[in-house]
Amino acid sequence: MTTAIIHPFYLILILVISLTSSILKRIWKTESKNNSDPDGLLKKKNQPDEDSPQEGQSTTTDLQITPGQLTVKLRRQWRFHAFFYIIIAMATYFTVYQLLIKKSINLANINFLIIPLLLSAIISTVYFVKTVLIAPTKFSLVIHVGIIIYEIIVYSFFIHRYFDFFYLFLPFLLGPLRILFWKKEVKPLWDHREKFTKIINFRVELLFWVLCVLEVALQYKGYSLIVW
Amino acid sequence: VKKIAKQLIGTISILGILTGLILASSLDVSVLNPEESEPWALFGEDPSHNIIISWKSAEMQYPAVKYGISPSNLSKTVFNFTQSTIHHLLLPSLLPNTKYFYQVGSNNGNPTFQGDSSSKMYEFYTAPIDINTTVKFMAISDSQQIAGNGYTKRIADKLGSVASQNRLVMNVGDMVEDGSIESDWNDFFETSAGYLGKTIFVPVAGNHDSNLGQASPTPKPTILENYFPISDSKNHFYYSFNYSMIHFTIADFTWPEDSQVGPEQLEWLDQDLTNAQSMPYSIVAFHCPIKDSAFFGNNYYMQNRVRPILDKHNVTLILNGHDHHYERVEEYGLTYMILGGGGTVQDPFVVPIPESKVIEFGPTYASFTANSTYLNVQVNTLEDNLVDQFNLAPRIHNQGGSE
Repeated sequence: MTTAIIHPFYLILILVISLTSSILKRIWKTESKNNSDPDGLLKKKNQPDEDSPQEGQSTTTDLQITPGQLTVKLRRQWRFHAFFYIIIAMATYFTVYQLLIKKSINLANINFLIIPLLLSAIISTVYFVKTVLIAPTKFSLVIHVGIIIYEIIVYSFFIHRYFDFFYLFLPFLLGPLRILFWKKEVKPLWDHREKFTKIINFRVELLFWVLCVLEVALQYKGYSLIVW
Repeated sequence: VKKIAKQLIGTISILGILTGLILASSLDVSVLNPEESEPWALFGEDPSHNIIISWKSAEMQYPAVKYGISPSNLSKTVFNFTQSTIHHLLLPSLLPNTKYFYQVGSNNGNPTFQGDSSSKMYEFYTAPIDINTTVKFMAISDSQQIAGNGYTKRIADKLGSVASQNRLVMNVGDMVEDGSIESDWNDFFETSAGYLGKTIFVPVAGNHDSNLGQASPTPKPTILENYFPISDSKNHFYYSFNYSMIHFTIADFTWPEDSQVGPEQLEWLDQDLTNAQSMPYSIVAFHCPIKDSAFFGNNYYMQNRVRPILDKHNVTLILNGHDHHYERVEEYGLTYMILGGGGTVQDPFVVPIPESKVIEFGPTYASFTANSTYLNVQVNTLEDNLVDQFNLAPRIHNQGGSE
């Protein structure tokens, strides 16, 4: 099967953008949520949610959104970067597979590729698992699995035919849909966020960010963490 | 207040690091390079006897070049009594297949060389007349620095370390990011000084270097021709020359559009390759690829107008760039090399085509050795790992051979 082989440099370049957004979100949420709920989504039962009306208390329908609610809902689009991680993870897996099986691919410069590939594989897999499995709502599970299937179809059938990188990132256009269906997202099917945020805490995330920024900067100057 | 202060410091630190890295890279290209440059040598009309020495000075100057076959005895001097900042001096009546040494300086409007006797010594080889002489040369492409990316410097230094053993170095286009900006050229000459002063430079126009012939709605002034005044045409940047057993054709296909692949250049290419039929090897270099595994690898004008001419004349090897990775493609008996590992940021992705034999991401450069039995091609990484190696047979076999 012929498909696209993404240059690993670009995978960590996108990771830098995505991790920066995550880190900034952590910085602005950490103090108030005691570092255990960076998404601001943990809600104890019967605890009033300052962001949203509780189930049964809502007097508006999904499509009747006041400007105030819209602001809150747009703020929730921070979670939009979950799409990044799914796409990067899929791109990493397909790229590693292609690098291993494609005869015409030469790996003489593997020293320049290995750190970006490792970082991308580790970080994107961690967030991929988080995005899809840690606290899925019905809606997010459907949309995230939909994106995974979409990416498989694009890599398998479209990208080599139409040769357009944009197809990989088309799911970003689905982001605004979450505003409309947001109320349905409040209840997770199951919830392991607390465990996850204890393991992948702020320091670990900062370490990921530093490693990615350092590797991008070094690659840009013709080096790598293992090439000096 | 403390909480907000902490949050602000955290945010500024994160964004400040990113901004600082971007700024530091940009300054390298746009600000930190001197206006004057070290010299580069170009082939004149007869590469065996005429070489053009060029360089840039920061101030207006009457240029002068002192040269000879021994570094301790630079017995000849040429002058130009017109002031300029970009200098081109033709060294005439040189001996063929001979190593020359030279220094650049100025004059006061009269024939006296002004320059420090301890100033830097440069060198080049003239072309041999004997068409059986073994030739070594190197090629890269796409060395443009978008914002101080460092592969360019590392590749240039690598070429500089072996340039003296090679008769010429070719850059198959996109030497700079924006060919209409002086600072980009200052950066190119500064970065490439290590090899430019040790051998002959063979430039090929890229779409970033020049927009001659492009149907651009907003044409920009191009200054490529000011630095390399060797084109046979004012409408395009093309020329050709023989070097030992190889006929080099440098064409100006920088972008796959109708006006670029027009009749003037196609007729010239056809005629030039017809005239070179007696040469054992024919190497044609132009920037835009005819076929490869990346973004520019499949275009109508190149495949339907240029390829039939190359096929008709049984061209030995086609050197391209434009796409930013290394690749060898073999199709219809033609061999293409895409030399896009010359320093710039690499392609975001490739989709390997069946005709592709080797693909490599990252910094690479190509070395060639031509003798009467084969043209050997080697592509290496910065760390001297072998990326690709193959031999091409001559079109016509000559008798004998010499080093």
